[in-house]
Amino acid sequence: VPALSRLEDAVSIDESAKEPPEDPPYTDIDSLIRAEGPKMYRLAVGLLRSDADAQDVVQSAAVKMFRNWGKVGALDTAARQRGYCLTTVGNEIKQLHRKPVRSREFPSLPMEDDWVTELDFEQWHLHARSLRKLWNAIFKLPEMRQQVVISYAAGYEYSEIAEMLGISVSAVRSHMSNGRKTLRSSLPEIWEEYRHG
Amino acid sequence: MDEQRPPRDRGTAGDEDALDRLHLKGRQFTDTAPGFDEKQALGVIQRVREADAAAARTGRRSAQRAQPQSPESSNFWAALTAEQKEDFRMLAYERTFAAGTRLMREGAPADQVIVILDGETEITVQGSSGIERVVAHRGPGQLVGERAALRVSVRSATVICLEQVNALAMTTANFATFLDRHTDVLQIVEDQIYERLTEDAEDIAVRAQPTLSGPKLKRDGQNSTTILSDVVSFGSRARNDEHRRIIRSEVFEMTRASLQAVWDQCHFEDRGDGLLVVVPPSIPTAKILEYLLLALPVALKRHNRTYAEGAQIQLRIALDVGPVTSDELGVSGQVVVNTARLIEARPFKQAMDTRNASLGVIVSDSVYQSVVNQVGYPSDPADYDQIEVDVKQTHLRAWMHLFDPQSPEVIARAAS
Repeated sequence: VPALSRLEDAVSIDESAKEPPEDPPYTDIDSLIRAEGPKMYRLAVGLLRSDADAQDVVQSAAVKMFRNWGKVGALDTAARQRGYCLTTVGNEIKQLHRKPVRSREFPSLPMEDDWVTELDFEQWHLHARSLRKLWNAIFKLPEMRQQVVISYAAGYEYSEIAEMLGISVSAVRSHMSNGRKTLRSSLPEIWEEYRHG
Repeated sequence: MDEQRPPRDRGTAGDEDALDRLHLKGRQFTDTAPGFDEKQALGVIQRVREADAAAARTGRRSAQRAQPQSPESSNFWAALTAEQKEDFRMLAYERTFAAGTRLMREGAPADQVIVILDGETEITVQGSSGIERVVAHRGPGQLVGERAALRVSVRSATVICLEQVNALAMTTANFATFLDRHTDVLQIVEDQIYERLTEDAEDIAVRAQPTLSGPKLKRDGQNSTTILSDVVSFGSRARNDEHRRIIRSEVFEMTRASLQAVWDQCHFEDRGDGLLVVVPPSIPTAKILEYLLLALPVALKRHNRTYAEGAQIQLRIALDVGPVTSDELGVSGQVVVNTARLIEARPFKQAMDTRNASLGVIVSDSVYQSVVNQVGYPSDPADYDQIEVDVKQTHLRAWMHLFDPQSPEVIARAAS
C-alpha cells in the first residue's frame, strides 16, 4: 500500500496549474493493470473491507476492461482510463452485492466497525439498510462525481483523487460538495442519522 | 475553504457526515490491507486471452467459453492404480445413461459420485437470474459430483449427458469408505476440486451463453401444441465434440428464431440432441406449423452450406397437440410421449436417411386432418405421406413431409 499522502501534499499541489500535465494513455491492458491495479485494489478494499473480495472485484474489472479495450484504449489520457478503471470497479462491487447471499450485508459494515459494535442485531440491521440506501444513491450520481465520491469514501484524500483523475483539487472539492448536496437532499433521514453517529 | 481540509481536522465529530465516516473507515482499512495481487489479475486476463485465441482457431464466437482441456491430473480414473480401480469397481455399479439424461440435478441431495468411463457430459448451473448456463464439460475418466459428496449435501450444478454415457456410480457412503482405505486418492480428489475451483473462477470472467431451458410455465392439462426435435445421428463418430456443440447451439438458435414471435411464452427443455417445446394453448397450431416450416428449411440450408460435414444438421421434427401438465421436473402428458414415439417412427427415420432430407416433419393424424388439411399452407397437404408408427406398444397413424429430399436418381448416381 502506498504511503498515504497527508494534508501537506494537498497544499503542495500547485492549484494555479489548471491544465493537467501531459498524460499519455496506456497502450495495452497489461501495462494499465500493472500501473493502476493497486489503485483499483485500494478502492475496492476500502469499500468492501475484505482482501479476497477486493482481489476478485479487481480481477473481474480487469477482464471487463480487456473485453472493452476498444473503448478503454481509445481514451485520450491515462487519467480518463483511470477513471474508467474506478467506474468499472464500482460496477463490479454493485454486481457483487446483487448476489442473493450478499444482499443481507453491504460494503463498509463489518461487525467490528466501532459505531456498530454496541448495537444489537436489529439496530445493526437497520444500519445496514440505511447504508445500502446510501450506496445505491452514490451509485446513481453522474459518472465523474461518482468516481470522486467513491474514491473519497474508500479513504482517498482530495489531493490524491485530483491526481488520480487528472483534475484540479478545486474540481474535486466541487464534486464532493455537490455530491454531498445531492445525497443530503435525496436521503435526508440517513444523512441526519450518520451526522450524529 | 473548510471543505478542503480532511475531515479528521474538522474539529468536532458532529461536523462529520455519512461520507466522512465512510472515508475514515476506508482509510483505516486500506492502511492495513494486504496489497494488490498483480500476478493473479494479469493471469486471469492471460487465460481469457488464450481462451479467446482457442475459440478463434476453432471458429467459435469469443463470448462462448472455450472447452477446457482436460489436464492429466483431472483424469481421476487414469490417476488411480490398478488395485485402486479394482477396489473402486467393487464398491460401484456400472450404469449406462441415454443422451439427454440428467445425471445430477442442482439442489438435489448428493447421494452418489460418478466416474465417466465413456461419453461426454455437460455441467450447467442456474444463475440468480434463473438462466442456466454451461460451465464445464466432463468426459471419460473424470469424476463427477465429488464436491457435493465431500463437502455439502446438495448438488451445486446439473450434469447432463450429451451422448450415451457409460459410468461407474458409487454411493457417497461407499465413496467415503473408499477414500478411507486409499488416503492418497483423497489427495487426487482434492487437487481436482482445487483445479475445478480455479476453472470456475475463470468462468466468471468468460461469460458462458445461456443454455437450453425455458421459463417454467404452468400447464394444467390445457391442449398445447408440443414440438420435439431431434438431430439425425447426433452421436455419430463422424462428429467431434466441437461439432456437437455447434449443432446444439445452432438447433436451439434456429428453433428460437423460427418461433421468435411466440418464443417468450413457450416452455422448452433441452433433450441433448434436440429440444422439446410446449407452446401455450392460446397460439394456434397452424401458426406454429407456419413459423417452423417457413423458417427452418432455409435456416438448415444456410447452416449446411456453411459448416463442415461433421457439423451439418438433418433435423427431424414431431408435432402433436394434447393436454400437457407441468410439474417441478418439467412437463408431462400423453402428447409428450406421442411426439417422442412419432419422432422415432421407423419409416420416418428410414425416409430421412435414404432421401437425405435436411428437414423432416411428422405430425399426428389429428393434426394432419384438422390443421394441415384445412389450412393447406405453407406446405401442400398432398406433400405429406401417411405412415404407421409402431414404437414401443404405441400404434399411431401419422403423416410425414420431407424437405429438400434428394431424388432417387441422384442418390442412385451417388451410390454408383
